[in-house]
Amino acid sequence: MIPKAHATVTELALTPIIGHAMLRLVRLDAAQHPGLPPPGRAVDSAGCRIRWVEPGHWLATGQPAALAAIAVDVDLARFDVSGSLTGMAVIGEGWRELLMIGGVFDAEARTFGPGCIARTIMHHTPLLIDCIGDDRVEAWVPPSHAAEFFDFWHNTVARRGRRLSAPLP
Amino acid sequence: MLLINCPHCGPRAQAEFGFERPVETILPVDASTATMVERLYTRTNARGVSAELWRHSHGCRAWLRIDRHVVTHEILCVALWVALWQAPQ
Amino acid sequence: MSGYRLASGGLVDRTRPVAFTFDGVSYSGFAGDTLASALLASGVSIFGRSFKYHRPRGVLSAGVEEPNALVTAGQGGRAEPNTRATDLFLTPGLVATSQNRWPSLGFDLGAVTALIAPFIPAGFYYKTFFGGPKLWRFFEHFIRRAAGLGPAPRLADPDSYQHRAAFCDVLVVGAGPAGLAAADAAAGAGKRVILCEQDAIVGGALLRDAAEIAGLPGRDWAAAVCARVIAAGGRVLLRTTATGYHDHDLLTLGEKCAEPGEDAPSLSAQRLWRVRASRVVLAPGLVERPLVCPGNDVPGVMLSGAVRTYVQRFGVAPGRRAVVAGCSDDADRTAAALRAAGVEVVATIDYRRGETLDTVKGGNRVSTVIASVGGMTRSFACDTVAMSAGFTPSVQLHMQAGGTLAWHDGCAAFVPATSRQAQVTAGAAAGIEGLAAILASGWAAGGGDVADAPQTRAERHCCHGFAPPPRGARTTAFVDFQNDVTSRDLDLAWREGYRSVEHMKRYTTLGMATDQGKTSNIAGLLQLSRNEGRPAPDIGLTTFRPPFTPVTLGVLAGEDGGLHMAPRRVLRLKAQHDRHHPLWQPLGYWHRPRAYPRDGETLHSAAMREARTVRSNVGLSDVSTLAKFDVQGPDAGAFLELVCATGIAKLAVGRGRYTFMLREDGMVMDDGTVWRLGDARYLLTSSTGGAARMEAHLAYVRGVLAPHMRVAIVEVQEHWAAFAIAGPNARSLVETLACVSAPKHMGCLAVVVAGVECWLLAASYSGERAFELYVPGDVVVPVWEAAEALLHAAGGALYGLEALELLRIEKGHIVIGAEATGRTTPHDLGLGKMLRVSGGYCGAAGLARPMLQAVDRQALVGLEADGEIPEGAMLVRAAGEAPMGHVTSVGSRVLGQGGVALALLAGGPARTGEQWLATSPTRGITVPVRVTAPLFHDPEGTRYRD
Repeated sequence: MIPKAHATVTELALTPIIGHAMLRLVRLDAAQHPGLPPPGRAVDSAGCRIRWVEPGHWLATGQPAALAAIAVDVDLARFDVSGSLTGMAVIGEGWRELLMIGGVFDAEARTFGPGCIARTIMHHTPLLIDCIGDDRVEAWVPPSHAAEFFDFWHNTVARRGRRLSAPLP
Repeated sequence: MLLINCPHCGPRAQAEFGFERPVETILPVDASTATMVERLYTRTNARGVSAELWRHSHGCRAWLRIDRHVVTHEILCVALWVALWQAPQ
Repeated sequence: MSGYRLASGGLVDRTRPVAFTFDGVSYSGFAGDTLASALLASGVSIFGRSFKYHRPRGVLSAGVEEPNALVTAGQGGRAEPNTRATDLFLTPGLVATSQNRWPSLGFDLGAVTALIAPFIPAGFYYKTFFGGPKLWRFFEHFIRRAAGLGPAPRLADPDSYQHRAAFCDVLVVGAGPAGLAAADAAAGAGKRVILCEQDAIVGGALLRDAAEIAGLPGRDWAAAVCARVIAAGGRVLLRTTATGYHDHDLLTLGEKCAEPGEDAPSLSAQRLWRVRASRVVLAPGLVERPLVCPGNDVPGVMLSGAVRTYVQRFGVAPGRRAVVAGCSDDADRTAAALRAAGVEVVATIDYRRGETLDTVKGGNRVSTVIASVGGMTRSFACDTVAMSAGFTPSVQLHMQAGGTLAWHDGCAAFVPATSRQAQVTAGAAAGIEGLAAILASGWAAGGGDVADAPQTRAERHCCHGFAPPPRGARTTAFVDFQNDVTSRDLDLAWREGYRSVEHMKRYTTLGMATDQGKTSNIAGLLQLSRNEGRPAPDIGLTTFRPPFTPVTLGVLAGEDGGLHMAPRRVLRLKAQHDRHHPLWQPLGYWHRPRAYPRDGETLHSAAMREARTVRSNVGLSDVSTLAKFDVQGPDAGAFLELVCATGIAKLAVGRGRYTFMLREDGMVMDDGTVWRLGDARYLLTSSTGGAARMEAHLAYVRGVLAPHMRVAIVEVQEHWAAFAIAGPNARSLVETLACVSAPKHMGCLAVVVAGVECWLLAASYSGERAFELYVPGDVVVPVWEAAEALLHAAGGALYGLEALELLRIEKGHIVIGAEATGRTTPHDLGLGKMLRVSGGYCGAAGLARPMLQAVDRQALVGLEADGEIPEGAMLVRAAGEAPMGHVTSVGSRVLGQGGVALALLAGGPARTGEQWLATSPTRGITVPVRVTAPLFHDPEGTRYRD
């Protein structure tokens, strides 16, 4: 009955992402680096996922061996940042709706889709959103904020909003 | 809440940004004491367009120059601060 | 004599009765009724008592502009006071209570104020209560009891609220004919549309007056439009009011998911939408104006359109014998609707024919009307008056968006003129008359081609007209019903010289109640215009500000109430700390252990035990919250020399040092340590509280002042968990833990502990031999547990913030915020010798200002006393003298007796040995203290140096 565009958040599954290492690659004196994704994009490459996060900064996740294999040159510095972020996978078509709650970012825009990343603030927490597929995003927050932030999402999913998306009057 | 068109991230809400300072107050590290006093403490504060340094703190964290009319909040331009850091076209 | 339910008709669902109570009495209505319509149908006439005079009041309107029928909906923590009974839909079990009356609505002792009404006109309190304060305090007691309308709830609100962002191409405010046409056009053109309507069903004026649109009955057309909007991916939000129009076309919408007073525990009770639109179509329609005449507030007097709404939409007749008084075709429609419902229309008074309604008589209900009709004064017996002094376009949102207004002679009101943002007003609110024109205006505003606009064959229905303000001021001719402002009050204000519209508003309180003057602003303006002899447009209106209708604080707070008012940042090792039941201390957003009291210990005794254990054995403390920055690149050292005011570049690999950073004005901004981990790699640490500020400062220096440098900086505050191991036995613990020879003081070493690669830094904050172990946060638990096991084997102790304070104060280590107040230079804090002679650091220019070199500036000293020194106390030479400094941090001698403190004192170290008084007048404490060097333990530093 309710059109697909308004799939409710009640159908979402939230799963912690564990067992990965994180590396930050930083260009020393420029905003771009050949072979690394442009602003707002993420790519999968040789067992790692590499995301642009800031001008001249990229965040890579994967197994330690795969991360170690990422070639760096004199213009690129490597930083181990495995403890910096806690990840949560949001699985289900209602992820766009969930991301509209408590935030200011337009997650319902079709221009934000698989392969896109966005950084924003939601419920007092800095958030990195990585769109993996049409029905999956990964959310990364600082570990100190993670308990409260993901608690907020669990409550939102559990609380069945009667008019989360309005049906016909 | 202002809408600011970040060159990297597109139009985003003001909540993601932080105002840093008016451009006229940017002070090189090797400035003289007299320059420092004048730049930091003598302000024009015009009732018109203000050239300002902002940062997209909760977004891409880029430094931006924003020209903003202080009465109407009209934003006349948003540009990346340093030419070195321009996004590719 | 009173209202009743019609046998048939209306849009309420007569198959679904709904039970509710009002003032403890049980009633029944139907699904779709508002509280007002259900009570009218049950014969209730009096809904409340007016604010000042406690006059009995009935319901005046059928919409959000209602000034009289204010009730408290719900009970306990869920109670919502000052809820308009016309804006509250029945829900099963609703408990509603009337307000501002004691002991009851029918018999209200407050009505005695009517006897002294001549002495309490508008603004009376500016002209009374002169005399001693005792007289005021006597009257204040009664005035406080009388002030306000509904009581605020005293229990916590059990409901939850939500904030939601939304973005669209076109936001349409109002789902009447114009708004529906606009949404239809925009959705048809493929735009993302949001249509919001404060009512529970769409239709607006179509709910009151049937009409045929595009070949369908009006309500069916409305439903079809909504279906098209939703099918195109848009949203139709009901019970959603546009409360504010903010910068750059951001509107806040307040959605009532549950009705006020409704118990809906699993829902969010209300939702705040923040909608960013590319274009906004405002179609909020009109608000009818009451006639101003004596007795116009007696129960049974209602707005003409509202009477029609009750008859046609709710199937309720407001009375049995009605007089209709108006100034346009709209009043004729009301008379026809009443007759069709079987209500006797005793008289129609038409201001267009020069007739006037002069007086309404009655106490608890209308009994008679006196009017000038056909050149004669006549009296009509009746129980209901349907009155209209014209219609006012709703321009509030347009004005909030910075739009300007123009006077519309036909409406005798303002209509939107120019827009500064992307708003356009359509339909009746733009001053347009007639359904066909309204539909066309909405369609065009939604971007549609006017040739395709929905058609109607309805007659052009004229509602433009106005009734002039009354001659002669009478005390019961009400202009602002909610604040009890009469036309006499307006004349009085004008006579006393309050002649601008802003003064009239504030002196009389016209338009300052919760209805914000929706039914009174224009009447007040017309009367002021007549008194001034200037046209109304010259006088203007006061500024409309959000919210359009009252908004509950809960929905503004959203999820951020109670414990969620600020984020709670949690340590990685929280579970490990919890095993020892610490006292948790909020520190900004973080929570850190303050102490780990054992059986029966107070905070102070626990802290002293922990500190003594550090001084005599070994202690372990979690310092993970420190700000940390990984700085790499060929120019890393040079970059750090821009930021830090001490030497950096000469640091050898494997060595570290204490450092501090200045603001551009030369004041100490933050301090910390820097460690050279590699040729082109440094680790910078700084204070927890200044972490965000330091990150921004580093990014500023890098991005704006030194973009040419080849350096990369990454904030690693949470990547590295860190703990301090301190005490005479710290070295052996660390060597066992890391299977390595411990580095010398201020050395750093990469080590492996429990299979994890860590950094071991030899730094001492406590003054004992100490080390800090930096461990990646995602794998810190086994490392901490290994350290803890060795700690307990050695008989050591965990120590928290309180013990840390005692230890560092004895060593004179400054804390940002306590000693470094933002007005202290490095010289003031005794750090002058560490300044890099070559300069070139941020703040050098500011620090060179002559005034910062003065010798009598407040500088860091130590204080000692036999007992406790009061924190924050002022330092005076003798009682009654001006303070020359203050106590910044207070502690006790850890391995001795007596109190110690750090302080800022004019003249600083030159005063060593002097006797001063530390005095706190607010706490009534004065303690004699002796000035010392800011160093109370191991002055030579032998305990941690090599």
